[in-house]
Amino acid sequence: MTEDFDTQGAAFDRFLEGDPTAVPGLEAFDRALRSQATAAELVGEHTVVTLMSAAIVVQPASLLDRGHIMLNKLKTRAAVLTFAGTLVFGGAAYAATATGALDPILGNDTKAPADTTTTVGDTTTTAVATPTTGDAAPTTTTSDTTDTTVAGVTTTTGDGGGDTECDDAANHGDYVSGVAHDKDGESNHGKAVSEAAKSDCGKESDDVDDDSDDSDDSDDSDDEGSGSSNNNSNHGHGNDTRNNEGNQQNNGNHGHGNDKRNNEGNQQNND
Amino acid sequence: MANEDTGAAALGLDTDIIASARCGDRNALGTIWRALNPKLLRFIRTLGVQEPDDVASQVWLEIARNLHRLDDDPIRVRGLLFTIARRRCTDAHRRSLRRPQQSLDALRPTDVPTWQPIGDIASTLDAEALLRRLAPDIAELIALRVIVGMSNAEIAAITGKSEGAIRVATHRGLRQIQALLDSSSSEQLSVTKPDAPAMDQL
Repeated sequence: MTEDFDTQGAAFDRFLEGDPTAVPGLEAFDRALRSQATAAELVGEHTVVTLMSAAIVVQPASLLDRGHIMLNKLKTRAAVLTFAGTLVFGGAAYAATATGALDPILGNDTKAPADTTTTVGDTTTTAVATPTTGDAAPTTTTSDTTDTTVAGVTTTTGDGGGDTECDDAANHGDYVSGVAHDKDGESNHGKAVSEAAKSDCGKESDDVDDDSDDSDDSDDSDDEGSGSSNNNSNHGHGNDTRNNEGNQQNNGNHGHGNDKRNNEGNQQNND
Repeated sequence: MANEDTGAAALGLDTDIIASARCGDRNALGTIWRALNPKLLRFIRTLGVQEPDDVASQVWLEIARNLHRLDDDPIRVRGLLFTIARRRCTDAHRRSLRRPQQSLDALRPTDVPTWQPIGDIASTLDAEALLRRLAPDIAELIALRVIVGMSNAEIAAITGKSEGAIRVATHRGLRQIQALLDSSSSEQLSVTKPDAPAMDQL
């Protein structure tokens, strides 16, 4: 049965390949389907071919034009996208540079505005007159001139610590206290107190020598405290500007004085 | 490849004719039309379309519009032609279902059996009528195989079926045709035609 089925299948395959005698009884069927075209099947050739020719002639031209337009559109799109991308990325890069967002990347730790110039000029002169006679209290003349120019604004700070007589003070602390409680120099009150604290008024001559030694120690503190020099809460009684230029901007704060003992040295470093 | 060359030679077409037709040469278009239009009409008639000439004209116009998508291979042109023909036939069947048009021949008494004795096949129309007694999908496959002369691979590409399924279906159809022809003297065997089109795309 299976062999008969396979034989019949092979015969059908040969019949379908074009052998009409492969399947007995289907010769007429095959001959009829594969016969030559009849006249009825070839009617209307002229009409159909004319319509086809018209459709073909119109179509390629439109396709070529469409392709050309598409090419132009692609070029235009590419140009527009390139321009837009340049604007977007260029603007983002400019904004990042202006706000300093790229400083960690570019390695710019500090950034100063191009149109801002900061000039700090300090001159501190301390004259200590040791009395030749032992009864008189030591006389100290302090003259400070501080010129600070920040962003085109120049502030000149004069000496405000001379209102309280040094002779009236029993010792150095009394002198500084007197200066601190003196309300005459309101504008430079903190600076005057600072200068009074740094002065040698009411001190013994040995204390003055010790202060000079302390000044050497303060150099050491400059080296050690450089990392915390920017911590300027300024509520204390001294605003240490020994190693910090930015602290010059905080002169008007609540601090009671500015310590400028090493400003000369800082001037040299700044130069 | 050899089968394709044989098929193209059997069509009477070559690449030069197709290239000329793509440029709008009327003679080349006429050659293609004369080579393929009889097969196209027989295929459309086998599928039972009511107005085969109209459908064939639509197919040729669509071929002209899509000829630029093909290369100069005649086999591919034939494949596109009958792919479009199948779709247009499907559209025609759907259209006839929406707006049924019944001919006077269909107004016969309902007690008449759907099978009729098969006489001698004297013409192409008789063979097409015999094919229409089969299931539409099988009749379509046999028409593509015998009338158009396509291989199983080409038919598979058009219909979306596997070559094995096509081979089995065509064998079953030929066996049914054999039975129909053998039953011409017998009244017991009949192959009824489905009431509604059973094409897979409907």
